[in-house]
Amino acid sequence: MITASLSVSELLYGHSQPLFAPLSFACQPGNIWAVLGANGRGKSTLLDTLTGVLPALGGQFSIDGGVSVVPQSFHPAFAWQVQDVVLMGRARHVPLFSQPSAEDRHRVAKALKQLNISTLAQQHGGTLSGGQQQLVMIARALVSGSQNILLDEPCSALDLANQQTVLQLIHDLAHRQQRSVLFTTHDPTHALQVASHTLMLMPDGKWLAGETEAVVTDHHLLQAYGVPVRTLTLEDYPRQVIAPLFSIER
Amino acid sequence: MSRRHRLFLCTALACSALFATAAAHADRTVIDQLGRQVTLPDHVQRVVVLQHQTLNLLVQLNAQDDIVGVMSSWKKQLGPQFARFMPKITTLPMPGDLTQVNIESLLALHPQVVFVANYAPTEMIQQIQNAGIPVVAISLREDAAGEKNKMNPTMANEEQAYNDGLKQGIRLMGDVVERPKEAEALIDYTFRARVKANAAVADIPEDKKVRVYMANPDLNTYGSGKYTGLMMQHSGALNVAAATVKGARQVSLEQVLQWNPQVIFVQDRYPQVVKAIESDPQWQAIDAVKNHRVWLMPEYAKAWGYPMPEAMAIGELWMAKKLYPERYKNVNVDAQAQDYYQHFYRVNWKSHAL
Amino acid sequence: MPSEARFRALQAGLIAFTLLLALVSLFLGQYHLPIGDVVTQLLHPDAPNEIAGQVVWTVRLPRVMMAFLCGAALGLSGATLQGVFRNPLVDPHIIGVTSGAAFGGTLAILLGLSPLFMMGSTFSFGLTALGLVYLIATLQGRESTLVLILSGIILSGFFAALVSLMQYLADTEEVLPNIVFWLLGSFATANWHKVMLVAGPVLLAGAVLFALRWRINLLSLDEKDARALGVSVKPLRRGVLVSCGLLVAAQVAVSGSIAWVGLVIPHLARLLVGADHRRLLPTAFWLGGAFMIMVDDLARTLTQAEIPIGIITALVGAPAFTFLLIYSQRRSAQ
Repeated sequence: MITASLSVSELLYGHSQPLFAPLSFACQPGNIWAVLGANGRGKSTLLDTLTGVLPALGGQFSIDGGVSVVPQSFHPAFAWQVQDVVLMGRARHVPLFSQPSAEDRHRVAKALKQLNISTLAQQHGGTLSGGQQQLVMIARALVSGSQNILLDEPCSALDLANQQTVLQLIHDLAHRQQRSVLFTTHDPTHALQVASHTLMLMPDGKWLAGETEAVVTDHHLLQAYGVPVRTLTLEDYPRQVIAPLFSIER
Repeated sequence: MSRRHRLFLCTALACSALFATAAAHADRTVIDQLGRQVTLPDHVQRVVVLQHQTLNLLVQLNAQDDIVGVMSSWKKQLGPQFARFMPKITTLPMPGDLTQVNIESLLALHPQVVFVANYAPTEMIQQIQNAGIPVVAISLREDAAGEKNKMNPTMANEEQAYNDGLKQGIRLMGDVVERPKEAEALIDYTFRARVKANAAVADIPEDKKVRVYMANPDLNTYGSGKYTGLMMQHSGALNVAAATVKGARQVSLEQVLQWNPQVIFVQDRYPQVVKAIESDPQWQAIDAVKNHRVWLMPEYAKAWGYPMPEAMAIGELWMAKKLYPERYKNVNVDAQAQDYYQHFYRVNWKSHAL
Repeated sequence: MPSEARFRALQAGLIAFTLLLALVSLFLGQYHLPIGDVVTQLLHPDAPNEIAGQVVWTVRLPRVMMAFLCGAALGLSGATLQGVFRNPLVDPHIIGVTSGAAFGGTLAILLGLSPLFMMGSTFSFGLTALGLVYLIATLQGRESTLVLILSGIILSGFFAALVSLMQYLADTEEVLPNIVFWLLGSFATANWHKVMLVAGPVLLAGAVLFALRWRINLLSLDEKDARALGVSVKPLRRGVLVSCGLLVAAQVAVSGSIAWVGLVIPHLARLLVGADHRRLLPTAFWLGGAFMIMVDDLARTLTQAEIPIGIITALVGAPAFTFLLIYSQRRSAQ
């Protein structure tokens, strides 16, 4: 029985008031959790709470093996090189008054190689595309060596090709590197594509958590988003896709 | 030997070498007007002066040939006409000013003593002293102990403080440049002339005294604690600013309007102020301006914060006669000025005033 | 962008240049010393030529060292603060220490305090200003960089007003010129005593910042980002700001307020070695020191008297900054 590396128990979170009923779920290594919910529902706030940026309002959560966040965007004030940005991910491993060691730099090189962006190592962050920036952020999370990796809307600003890249990466993180991955998204198809489990944040403080097939249903999605959807099974494609049924007044 | 040790050793050597050299000449000590004990060589022939009042006095003591360096703002403080008393001043090096000095420029002049103002920064005095050059501070004011360095000290008796201070300062300078006879002559002449000049207005009661305002540029004036007020008193006038203003300060136009002086005097070194006041519509309501009593003072009437002997000897006379002409009908101020200038500046007095 | 080896070469070159500059400065000055005399003094400090020895050992050398330490302090604190506040337009004065220190010094001149007390007053008011900045930030309940900057601006304004008040209260003929001259900054009264007084804080705070140079990279991230990486932002920032406060307060205490150096030097350094503070901080340190030595050489040799150094740094700094801005814009546009 594999123990969960990230487990949440009766957690209340929010800025001043709890946004949801007490939350409980657990991530195991190799699991991918998708967090679905309408905009402004509190997905980013959950991530902030889990990384300690925001204090929990009640309940508790426990993290085994460290946690890293991949932020949605990165707007540095200075022209950092990609390898220096990724190196910052080693913050927890470098003592206060010390400088990064050869080992730290080695891990950076390894992460860049894993993500196939070694050629970008000495480029400045400002010259990268959105997708490349995300990869750099993921590399930074990788080098921190954390068991748990949380991604904040990693696909929201990306085109389809880049979405493909990132989703592949999320899959590999869990299945090739045995990390526990949690990512937020507002596109339910992403959940169907890679997530083994889903947490759906509903209106009125309710939430659903469980295996993706059980949680991501047409009925639940209508409740969550207020737009009817249809789950489609295609002949020549292994995964189901969600089609939104917009009603436009013409 | 470590670097630090070497440094210390050479500094000690430098100092001891200096003392050795100094001891080779016979030495004397004087007490300057900050109460400091200063050791000087017996014969002083190279003097740097970083204070304009001292410069003026040294010229009157006929010691200008010993001066090898002056303050850079002498023109501004004494007026460019001062050069006629000491032609070589225009070519003298200017290693510093009232509040700062370039120590290397000073050292290059090899001075035997440096005269500074009592309000020169302590750091500056220390730096010059540490370079082995004696520093004599002049204040022309005899303060109670502890207030010697302060600006606007509370003076129990302003009159006595400045009288005694001027005498002490002149004697000190005379001592340093070895002109004791000239010093006594200057003091004697000055105070005697003053008593004679003041006699005619000595009996004017306070409330009948003419109300006078001293106009420096930018609404600056002199309040209490400065020689200016004393000069006015000796001339039978009242400094309108003395009651409420302490020291040299900028005042507001409203205050001047409220004082409504009967006469406005402007120092010789600021001729532009006369025109500025006469043409400024905001000043027209003042009694002095309405009655065309905005007067530029002659060069010798130095109504400064510090007393100058020519101001005491003839300046006060000029002011008194200007304010009370009927009391000085038989007095020829220009002749008096000529006498003074011949004696102490060794040139003719030429009035270039309006 | 320079690789590690190129950086080391650049660094070594910069240090060598600075030391050479310092050496050459010993030959410059209003007192005409033939080169041979200076060399003799340097090689044989016990040589009996007392005036040359005096000029070299007690006038020029402490002055060059003080200029170096003050310039290095300003360059280092400027680079650090630009990183901490995530803004390349930040000047060390932003944390209010300079204005507080200026007030301390002005007050001391007004009260006629001795030089030692004046330096003490300057130093303590400088650090008090930093403390007040934090107090205001804490009273607002937040300690974010924006709040700290605003508090710094408020306090700078307040202390500047107090300085104006002191100037107003001062006797216009006798005290005011002193105050004005001091405020413009000068190394004219440099001596070994002052060098020791400034060396202590500069080397101590400098060592701390040097050890933290990689961590300061992390501080220049978004606050949320930094925290998510596991950096305890608040204590680290406090430590860094206190170190910068020490640097600036010590510099003002011995030489008055000197502007522009802390703004321009980090920019120049960033153009040379990039934004990584591991390289930026030492570069800004040495560059600042070299720059100040050069400027001070001008201040004491251009005319017979002393030119206040703040004037020269402003006259040189403003155009230099404009040029750097234009140049770096062009470079990043390529």
